[in-house]
Amino acid sequence: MKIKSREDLQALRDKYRDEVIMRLVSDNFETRTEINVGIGETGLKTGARDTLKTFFDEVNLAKLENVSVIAVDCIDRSNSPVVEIKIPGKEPVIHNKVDSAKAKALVAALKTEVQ
Amino acid sequence: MNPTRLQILICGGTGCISSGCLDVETALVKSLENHGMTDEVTILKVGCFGFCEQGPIVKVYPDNTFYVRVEAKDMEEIVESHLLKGKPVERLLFKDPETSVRYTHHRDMPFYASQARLALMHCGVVDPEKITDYFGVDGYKALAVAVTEQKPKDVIDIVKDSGIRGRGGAGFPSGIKWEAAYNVQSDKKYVVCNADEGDPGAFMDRSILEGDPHAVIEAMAICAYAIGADEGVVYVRAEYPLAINRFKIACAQAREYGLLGKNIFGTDFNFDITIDLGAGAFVCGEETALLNSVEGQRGEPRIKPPFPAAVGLWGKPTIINNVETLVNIPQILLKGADWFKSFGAENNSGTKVFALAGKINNVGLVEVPMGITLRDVVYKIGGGIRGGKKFKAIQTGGPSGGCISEKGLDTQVTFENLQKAGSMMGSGGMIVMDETDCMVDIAKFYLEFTVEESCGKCTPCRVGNTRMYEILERITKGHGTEDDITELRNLGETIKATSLCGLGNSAPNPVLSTLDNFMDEYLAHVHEKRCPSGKCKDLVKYVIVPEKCIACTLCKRVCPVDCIIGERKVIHEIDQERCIKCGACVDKCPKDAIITE
Amino acid sequence: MAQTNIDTALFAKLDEYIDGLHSKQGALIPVLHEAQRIFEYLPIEVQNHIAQKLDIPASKIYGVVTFYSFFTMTKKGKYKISVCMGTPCFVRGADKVLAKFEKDLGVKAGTTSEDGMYSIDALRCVGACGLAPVVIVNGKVYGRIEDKDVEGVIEDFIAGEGESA
Repeated sequence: MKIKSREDLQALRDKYRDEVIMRLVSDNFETRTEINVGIGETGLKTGARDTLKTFFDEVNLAKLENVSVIAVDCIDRSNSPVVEIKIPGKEPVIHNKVDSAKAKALVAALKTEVQ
Repeated sequence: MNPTRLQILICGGTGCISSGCLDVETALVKSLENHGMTDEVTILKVGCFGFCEQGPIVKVYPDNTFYVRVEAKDMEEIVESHLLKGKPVERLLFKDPETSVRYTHHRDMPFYASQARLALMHCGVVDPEKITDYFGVDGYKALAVAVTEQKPKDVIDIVKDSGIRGRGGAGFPSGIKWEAAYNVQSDKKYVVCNADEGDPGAFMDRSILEGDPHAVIEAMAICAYAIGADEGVVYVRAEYPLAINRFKIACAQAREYGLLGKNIFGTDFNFDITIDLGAGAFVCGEETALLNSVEGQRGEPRIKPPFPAAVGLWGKPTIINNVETLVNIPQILLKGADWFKSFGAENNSGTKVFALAGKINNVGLVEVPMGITLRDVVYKIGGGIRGGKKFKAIQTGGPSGGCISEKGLDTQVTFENLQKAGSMMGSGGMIVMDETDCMVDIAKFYLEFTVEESCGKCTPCRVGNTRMYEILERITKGHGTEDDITELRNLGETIKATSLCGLGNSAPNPVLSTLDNFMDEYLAHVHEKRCPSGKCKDLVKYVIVPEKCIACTLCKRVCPVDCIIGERKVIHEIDQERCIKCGACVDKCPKDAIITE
Repeated sequence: MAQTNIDTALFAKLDEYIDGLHSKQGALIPVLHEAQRIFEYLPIEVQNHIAQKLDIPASKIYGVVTFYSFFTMTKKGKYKISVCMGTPCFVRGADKVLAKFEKDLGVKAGTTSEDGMYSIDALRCVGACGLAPVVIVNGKVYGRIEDKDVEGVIEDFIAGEGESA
């Protein structure tokens, strides 16, 4: 397509922003919010990958630009899948036994908090 | 899973391709297939991360893990441990050679900590072969605003106000140059991008073309709009196939979206770009020589004035800007002149990219704010001298820059300061030398280059540099006299003052600066017929230290001319008359008993 | 035109390129690039041919060909060995590497061996300074080469038939 105006360009920018935004913000350790999902051995058995995928999708859908979803090693084996949410300037919060439904709820809550 | 939330970046600059990043990519694709993760991960080949010493580099997002010296066989472990189980592969993280600390994030590494990436902002972030990535980082917005909302004069004023100076060498204020071309009435004007990066050891322009080609296109279009041009030429070294290819792809994409061509952003502004290949002539980095080359002539410089801004390509007003200068322009328009001025030093706003190389631990491409000291570049970013050797000199500005010694290490890097120190900014090569380098030999090396590359048009450069080279040749062979040193200085100063172009004006710098800073080495060569670093073969004498020799005959057996006397249990000796100074015995000796004097 | 033993099909290929140009203004250097790609070198016959096609004096073309180091009037060997002599490679010992190649293959830099097998060139800078000293043989890059590695490099490219990596 030919870009014919500033608005055309803005629309393309918004469309493709998702693909690069993560690379741009992931250097901002001080300001970004991190969602750390434990996906070690135990996590894999208890469905942590589904939780992770839900987080990826939900954060994208919610257009939370300054939030990074990171897969990490197991955080707490007995309560897996465990998710740690770190918002800059606040104490990290641990959430136990996070399934997809709970993940959706957490992102929804996060949306009001970080935006 | 949305693949954009898990991305693996593989450095695809020429340096990393040379060290095997293509195999790494193949291995990664295969590992992902094996684990059924192909749909979950986006693989991107991006431009240079700068840390070439440690290539190939692989970066995992979003956790931002920075793996170095990755080989194809490591990829399975990265997929299995890191991607699948969340455990980064410790052994592939960068380990500081001095402190043994391992770093997960590149931002914490001393190599990156003192850098400020403006020109290289998108290198290693956007996929250079995808215009959509560039859209995502507000690409072409500066051009859009310029052509739809700003007058050409407004654009020129912002560039002038930012204080940006040409990054190709001379440091002429870009805004003033643009204004000059704007003020000339003409039916046709040109914008030329100088990517004929001829300085050995400097590769920032190539890295920018490889890593962020759209920013160069956007900047050229902005310049064209500002001065009233409709045609652009990129003059790039034929030795840069990857950069040429990526730039061609980028131009094709820009055309597809109507960002090059007619009626850009629905206005009456037209602009398109052609690519011209250089053919290996250093002098073509000089702007008027470059113009002759584009016109299909020998690349000899023209007499200035008239300046190209008035009479340039095919006799029309032409702006010639270097790649690194151009790539800063879109950000200056987006973020404002004050933002740009917040980096750097007085009259030297912004940053400069340097290619750090030579006897230094961290070889690579670094971008620092103007005004940083050479000491910080060498020790903080460069990680000090390789192999624990002693620093001797740092050479800046390419083959016609000067060598700065230990006592100049606290020089703050600005166009003026480097000139005062007998060197220059040039295009940004920085080559570090240690105690084993002979400065007379280095001066000779550079002069050999200049003699070879002198276009031959003007006498001081063509003949003068050859004479200087002959004198240096004499000195390094042990036939030099004190008069030769005086003659070197006279010649050097005459050539500097009377040559036609920048090449001749600066060619004697390596000699003059080493005369200023390392006179003792010249004197040792002339008076004592001795080369203190043992580099000048004709002045070196190999001797065996009797106390260290264990009479093992290893050296005797390796000597190609049988000039080592002695046998088992008889301490060896070298017959100086017959020795050809090949150094083979030194490498062989298990006790380091053979020394040079 | 001078007697030539060069394949006429190659000239046809070059003509096709020249005829396809939309403007002959400033076309000389691109044409020389293309010609060198087709013929591998630019002998006088080729230069004369271009002179006629572009209507430029042959002397001028000779002047341009000899000015630029990228253009060559001698045919390169089967194995094209380029030793980077950029400063970073030089200070890390590229001069010794070059000397070793010259000695082992009996060919001086800038020339081709009589049997047409090897040509050695001192290259200016490939920008892979992290790998200094760098040697390139038919497109394959060998990094961090010291003079003692030269024999291994020669064995490697002969074994690999000099395939590009």
